[in-house]
Amino acid sequence: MAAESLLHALTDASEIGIILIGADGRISLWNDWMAKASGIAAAEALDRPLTEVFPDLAGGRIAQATEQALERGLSAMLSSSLNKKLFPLVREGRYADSPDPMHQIVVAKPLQSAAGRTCLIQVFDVSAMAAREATLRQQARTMEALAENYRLSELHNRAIVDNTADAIVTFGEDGAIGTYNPAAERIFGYEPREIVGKSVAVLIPDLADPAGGLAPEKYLGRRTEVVGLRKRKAQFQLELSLSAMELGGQCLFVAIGHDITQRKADEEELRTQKEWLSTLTNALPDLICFKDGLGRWLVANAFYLDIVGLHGVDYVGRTAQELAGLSSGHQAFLMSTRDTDERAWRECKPLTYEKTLKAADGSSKVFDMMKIPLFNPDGGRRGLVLVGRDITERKLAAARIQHLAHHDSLTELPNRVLFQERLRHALAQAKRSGWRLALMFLDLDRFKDINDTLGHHVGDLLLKAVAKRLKRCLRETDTVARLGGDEFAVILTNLDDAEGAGRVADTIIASISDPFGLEDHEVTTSTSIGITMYPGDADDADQLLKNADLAMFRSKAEGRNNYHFYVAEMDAEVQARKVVERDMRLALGTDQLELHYQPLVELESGRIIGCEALLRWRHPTRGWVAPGDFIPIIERTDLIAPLGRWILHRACLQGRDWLKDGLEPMKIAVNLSPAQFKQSQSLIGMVGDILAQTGMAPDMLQLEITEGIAMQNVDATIEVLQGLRAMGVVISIDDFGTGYSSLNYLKRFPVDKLKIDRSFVVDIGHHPDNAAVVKAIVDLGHSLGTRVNVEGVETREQLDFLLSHRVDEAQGYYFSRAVPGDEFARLVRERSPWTL
Amino acid sequence: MTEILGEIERDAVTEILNVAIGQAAASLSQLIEDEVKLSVPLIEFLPPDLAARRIDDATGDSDSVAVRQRFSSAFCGDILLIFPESRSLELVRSMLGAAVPLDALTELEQEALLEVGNIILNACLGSLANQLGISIQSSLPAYLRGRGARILEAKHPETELVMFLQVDFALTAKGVAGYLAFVMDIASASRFAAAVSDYVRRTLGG
Repeated sequence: MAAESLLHALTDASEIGIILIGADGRISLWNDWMAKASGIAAAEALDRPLTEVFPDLAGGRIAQATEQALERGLSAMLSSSLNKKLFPLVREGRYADSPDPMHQIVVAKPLQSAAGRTCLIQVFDVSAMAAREATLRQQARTMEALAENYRLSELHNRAIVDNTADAIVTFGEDGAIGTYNPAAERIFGYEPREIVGKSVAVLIPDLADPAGGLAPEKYLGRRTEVVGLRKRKAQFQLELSLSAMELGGQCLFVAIGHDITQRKADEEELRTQKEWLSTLTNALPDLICFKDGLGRWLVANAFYLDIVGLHGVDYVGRTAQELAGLSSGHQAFLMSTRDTDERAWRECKPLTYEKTLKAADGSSKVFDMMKIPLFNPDGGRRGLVLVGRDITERKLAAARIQHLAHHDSLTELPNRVLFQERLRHALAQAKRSGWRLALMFLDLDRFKDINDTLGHHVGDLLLKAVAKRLKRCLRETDTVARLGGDEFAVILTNLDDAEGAGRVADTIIASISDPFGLEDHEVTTSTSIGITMYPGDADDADQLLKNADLAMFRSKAEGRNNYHFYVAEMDAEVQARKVVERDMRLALGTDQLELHYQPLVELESGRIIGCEALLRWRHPTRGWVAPGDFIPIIERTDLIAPLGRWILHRACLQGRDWLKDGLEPMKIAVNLSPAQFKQSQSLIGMVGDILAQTGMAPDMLQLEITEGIAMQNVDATIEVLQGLRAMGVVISIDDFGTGYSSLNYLKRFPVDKLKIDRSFVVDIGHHPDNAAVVKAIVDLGHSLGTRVNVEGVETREQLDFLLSHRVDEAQGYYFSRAVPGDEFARLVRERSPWTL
Repeated sequence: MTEILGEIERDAVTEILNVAIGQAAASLSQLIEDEVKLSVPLIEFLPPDLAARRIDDATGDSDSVAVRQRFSSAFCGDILLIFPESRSLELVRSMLGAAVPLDALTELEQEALLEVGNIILNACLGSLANQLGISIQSSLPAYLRGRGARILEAKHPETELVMFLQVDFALTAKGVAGYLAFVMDIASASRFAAAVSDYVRRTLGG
């Protein structure tokens, strides 16, 4: 009994659960621990099968183990870790009211005793251990997560180091290289195995001190440019960032190197380009300025800085408004540039305009400005380029050209172009206002003579002086223009009537008649004026111009130094001229035209030594037409050339025929028209041709030109006359005494004969002056070695005078009128020598 | 020594143990509510040093863990279930359904492994006792860790013999190979052999 109570005392004192199952399968021992943990008292459990106390255990592992122990003597061990269903035990939890399920280990082992085999079941509370392990497991998981994080982080860092474009090299205090990443391999050329452990000075010599140690201090903590050394010994520019750190008690340097060879080259290239750009912009004669999208100046060339008064000012990054304050004298302009900038940007296209700016020397310069706006791809303002071309010269030249195009360079008067423009304008205005308008044409009488005698220089001075006087005769609103040569035109506007124009014409005539003092010469001239009126005479400019021309022609025809208004009859005259021209065209080459010959008597012998050939026109309806009625008209047409040729040819043929008929050689005088004479080369050629064709002896042909023609262009006259004379042709000056021959010129003319104008002969008996002139001319001619001829001899009295004054030859009605060729031949046979 | 069992006897033991292992697999499946397959393809009799070598070869000379129970009957000795340590971790943790990043078994895990081993070893002993018609008692399982020689703990290597069987576990599609080892002295082995021979004779005769 004592042993049993000791057993109970022992088991109840145990800190494990103890159950003893008897051979019969019933509980024979149930200690206090079990009672407490299961809540089942020993009295309640004893003598009952385990599966009765805990029905849930039936068929479970505890039941099996108990059975194996009892029946086979096998021991078993069960753990809550594996078994969901062990004993439903609880233990005291952290809170009294909520006990925790117990994590247990159950051990079942057979006990061999005298009473047979029993099974001892021990239950261990391993809750504390389970809790510890749970914590441990949690910690382990945390650690693992941390380790994983670390691993990933390490991979990440490694990836950065491996993939960066910069060389990353670590080294210790002794300079020995530790880390050496792939970029370093690329940049320096060493493989890691070649360089790791070697001194960093191999790569970056700058890091070594002169003694061969390491001197990284001055590179620490900042970015510096050093020289790197590649494996193949090439030096290159390296941007170095060096930092130091403590790692495991050791000092570790981390060098990050960026190969800036390309960047250096780029910088150099950029610098070169900038230099080029700045040299170029400064060399250009244009204003140049670049601005950014906010209008801040980036680049401006010297020319622009000078012109806007910013020479020497640090302008970069400043706006025009800011610069205005720094400018000397161009504030307003600089302020205004903002508006044009804005406009260029707003309109999204280059803006061009003209701008006048005062240059440093005070002169005004005109610039053709262009502002080109620049934009970012998103449409934002990127910048602006200003180019200003100095067009001052161009503008002046253009104005000059404009002036030249519209003005006569000699007189500065409007020229024909501007005159026509003014005329159209004045007409339009007159049409609107209802005022009258007068158009005047005027030219200087005998201007050519003045030009020829006094020289072009004096002629030009005269034209300028005339222009001045004309302007003085007119109102500001009137126009006087020089149309060419000595031709002027005047537009008078806002006239009440034609008389106003007449008064102006009178004033002009009076003004021009006053002598001009030109250098050393006193020059007298006069003017002939034609006037036409709008609206009376015509409505359009062209017609008015024709009218004025006709009216002026009339003034000239009527003795010059006067004016005529246009009248409709002038048109009739023109019409008449046209008829004459047309009829002459038809007559040429027909027998309507013939030559008559007036004998030429040698006064010494009385013999007929020649004749003057004169044109006769037998018009089919008008009968005989006097030469004065058609020659001046034909002279102004292209008919004069064929007509002149015909006359010459016919005269030469006649001379040949007379020879054939047995007449002694006759000198035949043929008049040359001014038009023929002007075409000097064709004239010489023609004369030569005709002489050759007809076989006429050159010295039998006498060509006559009037004194007026001869004096028109003295040099040309001399040349032509020499050409003709070289062929052997005789030259005679017709109508001598009516022109303005200068003795000086006359001396130079290769002339054989002078023909005194008939006007000196007409009243020879009654007018002692004319007698004196004739006498003087004869003396002159003889002293020059020429013969002197007188035409228009009609009376015995005249003949006697001529005889007494040793005139060489004479012609006139006293001897004979001009007669047809065969009649002339008879006259020679019958009357020569003349009885004088 | 290896000829202590004839071919027929060896087949018989393999068969008996296969049955036992099959029962153990069923028990384990029930316990962890997952399918466990076990098989014992081969039986060998080896001297302890050779068996230890075999164990260490399987681990690449790393530690193994083992569950050992002593058994006693007409013959007595140790029965061991041996795994390479790394395999034991996988085995236990897949059974417990918990992956713990520790490279050794915790105490609870050791307990669990002990229980697994206990189930298999008891099944084998129970089955042998049943088939051979003898009574075999077993002790509680113990946990061992170390190289093969230490686990087999041969006290008299020259007089002891190891009946060595490979055990293949297939658990949730993972295969784990371990060993089943009976370590007995020559006398016990002989008696075991005699018992098997009796069984064979009985069975063939019956």
